[in-house]
Formats: sequence, C-alpha cells, structure tokens
Amino acid sequence: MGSQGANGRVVQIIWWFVSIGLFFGVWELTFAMGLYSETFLPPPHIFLADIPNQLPNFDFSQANAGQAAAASHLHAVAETISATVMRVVAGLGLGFVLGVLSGSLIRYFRWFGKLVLPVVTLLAPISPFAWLPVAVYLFGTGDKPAIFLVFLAVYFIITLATIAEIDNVMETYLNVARIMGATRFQTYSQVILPAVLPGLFMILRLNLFAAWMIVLIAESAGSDSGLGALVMLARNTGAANLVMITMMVIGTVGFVFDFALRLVQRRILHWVPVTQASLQK
Amino acid sequence: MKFAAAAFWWIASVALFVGIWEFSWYMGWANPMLLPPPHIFTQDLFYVAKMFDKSTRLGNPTTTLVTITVLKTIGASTLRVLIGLAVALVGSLFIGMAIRFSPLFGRLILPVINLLAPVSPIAWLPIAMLIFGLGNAPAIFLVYIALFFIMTLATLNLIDTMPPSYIQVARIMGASRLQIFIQVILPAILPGLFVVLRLNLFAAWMIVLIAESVGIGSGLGLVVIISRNTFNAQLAFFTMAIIGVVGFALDVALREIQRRVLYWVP
Repeated sequence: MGSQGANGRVVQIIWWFVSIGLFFGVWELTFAMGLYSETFLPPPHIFLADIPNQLPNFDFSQANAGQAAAASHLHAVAETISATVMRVVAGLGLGFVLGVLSGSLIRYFRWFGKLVLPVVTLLAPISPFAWLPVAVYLFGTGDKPAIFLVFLAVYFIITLATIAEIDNVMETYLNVARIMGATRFQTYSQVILPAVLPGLFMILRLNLFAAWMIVLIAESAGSDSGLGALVMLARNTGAANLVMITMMVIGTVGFVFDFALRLVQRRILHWVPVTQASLQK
Repeated sequence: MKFAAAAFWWIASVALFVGIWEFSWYMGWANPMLLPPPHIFTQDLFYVAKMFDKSTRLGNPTTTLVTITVLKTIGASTLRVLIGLAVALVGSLFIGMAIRFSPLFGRLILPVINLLAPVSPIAWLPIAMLIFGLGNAPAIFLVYIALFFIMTLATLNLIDTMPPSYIQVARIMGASRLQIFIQVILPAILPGLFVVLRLNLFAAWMIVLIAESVGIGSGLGLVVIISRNTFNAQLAFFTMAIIGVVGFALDVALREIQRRVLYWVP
C-alpha cells in the first residue's frame, strides 16, 4: 500500500499523528462539550497532569506512608511492572518448556501417551480462571499462584499443539531421517523438534494475550503487588485517573512484550525465514 | 474394536489420575479441606449446588429450584460469551473491511487500533464498570474488547494475504469495488477469521468469568470467587468441572457452526 522508501515513511508518520491526534481530539472535544464528567472518563490532559499525584499508588509496600521522594516513586513503578513481567515470563517459560516436553513424551512413548493424553484433554478446556481457588489453596499468596496460573494458561494448549504439530511433520523429513539411519531419539531431537518449534512459538505468542490477562487477575485476587493489584485498587476506589494511567502502562508493557517475543522468535529460530504469517503487523 | 480400545485407554488414564489423587489423600499428603479427592467433593452435590445463588444459599430450597438456579448461572455466563463473540465478529469484520475499502478511513483509524490493541481487557475492566455499571453490558463489552482489536488486525492480515487472482478474476468480470469486497473478499476471509475467533474463545471465556467475579453479580465467575473467598474447596472443584464442560461444549459448538455456516470451504 502506497509508495515505500523515505517519502512513504514520512507520509506514514504524518498519518499516524493525524489519526492519534483525531482520536484524542474527539475525546477532549466531547469532554469540553460536557458530554461526561471527568470522574467517568477523564480526557488525556487531566489524567496525564495527574501522574505525579498517582505515582505513590504504585508503591504497595507502604501504601499509606505519606510523602516520599519522586525518585523512590519511580522505583516503585519499576518494581510493580517488573513483578508482573517476571511472573508472566516465569509462567510462560515453564509452560512452554514443560508443554513441549509433555507433548513430545506423549508421542515418543506410546503407553505414556495413551495414559496421559485423556487427562490432558480432560483438563485443557477448564479456564485458567477456574483454577484460581486451587492456585490459592496450593500456593497461598505471592508470586507462586500467579506463575502457576500463567503456566496453566499455556501448558495444556502447548502440549496439545505439540502433539498436533508432531503429527503434521512432513513425511519426507521422517523418511529421509530414517534412510540416513537416524535412531528414534535422533529423529525426535534433531528432526521433529526443530520442525515443530516455529509453529509452537507462534501459538505461544497468540496466547500471550491470555497469559497477560490471567496474571493481572491472579495478582488482584491472590497477591498484593503488580499491575493487577493496581487495576483493582483503581476499580475499588473509583479513581478514574489511575485507571487511565494503569491502562497506559499495561498497554505499553504488553506492546513491548509482544515485540520482545517476536525478536526472541527471530533470534532463536534462526532456521525459519522471517516472513512468517503473523497476526500483529 | 478401535472405539473399545480408545474407551479402555480413556478410562485407564482418568482412573490413574483420580487414583493418584485419592492415594495422596489417603496417605495424608493432600489436605481434604484444600484438595478434596473426587469421592469427597462429589459427596454432597446438593449442598454445593445450593451455593450457586443467593436465593438458594439459606433455608431448604427444593432440588428443582437449585437445579434451575445452577442452569441459570451457567446460561448467564454462556450467553454473555456468545453475544460478545457475535458482536465482536461482526464489528471487526465491518471495521477491518472498511479500513481496506476506504484508504482514508484506514489511515485515520488503524493507528488508534494498533495503539489500543495491546491493552489487556483487564485494564478495561474499571472503564467497563464506570460506563455500563453492573449487569450484562460490562461483561459483553469486555468480551468485545478482548476480541475486537485482535480480529480487526486478523481481518486486515487475511485480506492482504488472500490470493490476488481472486480479485483479478472479479475485476476482469467487471465487478465493482463494492461487489469485490462483498462477494469475493468476504467469503474468502470468513473461514480464516472464524479460526481466529475459535482460537480466542479461550480468552473470551476467561474475561467473562473475570468480569463476573468483580461485579456483575451473577454467573460462574462469581461462584469461583465465592469459593475462593470462603475456602469452599468442594464448590471450587464442582465449578471447575462445570466450567470445563461448558468451555468444551462452546468449542464443539463453534466448530459445528464453522462447518455449517462456511459450507463453501472444503
């Protein structure tokens, strides 16, 4: 669409600013016309100006400790964000690795597969949110229940996807490996695994959204830190400015996260051509 | 014969799972208050089902009344998901096609969609409640938010990656721009979009439960959070079972709809 190159770039950037400007312009205009009050949907100039006053809310260690220096508030913001990100990363990592492992084992050992697969398909459709009480019973509060829920959101999907991908590996690959005298283990680790990983990584990225959602809810219900706790704080106190600021932070972190995963995908899966089908463009 | 073997393995597998669970309870590793084994949490289903709604929680309601309230709760959650899915499918299809149909509209709207897409629906939750209050509307709105941005971007991707020969043939046959969009592009992208919808059912189902747990006042999500707050493990496991069954049924139903409605796809 449109001409590429430096000129096209500039035009694209101009349109970006026009579009975003229009969006915020309509928002500010409808507010100025008095269509709604700022306690409902504060326009950008109000909630952005309120950022300095809202920063102390990010500090969960001493919620009512009064005034502190701005530097330590920024520190609290960083801590809140990194707590959430750490939980997502740990849960995704565990879920992905164990999911791929389980899926491979189910296909590698036929007896194991026959014994385990029905339970996996039985538990897979249970929404991770329904596991929340169990996560709290098992792990109490803190990091662990949140990580466990992210793990669950990814594990079953990745396990089933691994099986599906293994079943769909091109017949030729397997035939060639067999002709060249590869053992069963070699076929799995050196042919099947590299063949299925790219597809699985795509599925992981598609489920990032769900993982990111469950961590926020786990934090609001099971632990008193992280961005999820902040969302609930904003909701329970009806602080519309804080709601908007939190949305901004969560959106930015979500965007960076997807971007990072795409980079990881490109670096680690170096044998796959870059032009993969992708939902995000 | 093949079916019998599959059934045998299914029973063996589930029995093993339940067996390990029961065994760890028997050995005292699993606290029956927190991880009650199946024979305990299925013991008193009536008592558990009573907890589903305020109206039946106290006193001695009849079995029919309790059954009806449980079914009502399930129906409420399911309906919210389905309405949200339908609205999001139509909305994203319409906006996505409009973005490609009118380049000016696309340039104006696409950056905003890209800006809002990475915001987790949970972050929208307070806004949904501020705007729509309580009831069905905020839950449906959140399902819509969870799907709309993803599916709009998917619509664009599908339009861009569809075989150019379709459009060329239509153009040779003298189709107008509107005709091409409605009669060529729409049927060509619908199957792919339906797959995206099914992939995101998981997220939609989750956001409904979450919305229900924080302030809709009814639905399965509320029961989950009640079970967590009252440490009622029996209720938690019973609700998990129901949520699993409903989630499974929704997936099967969507697959069936996909096959019926998209009859032109092989």
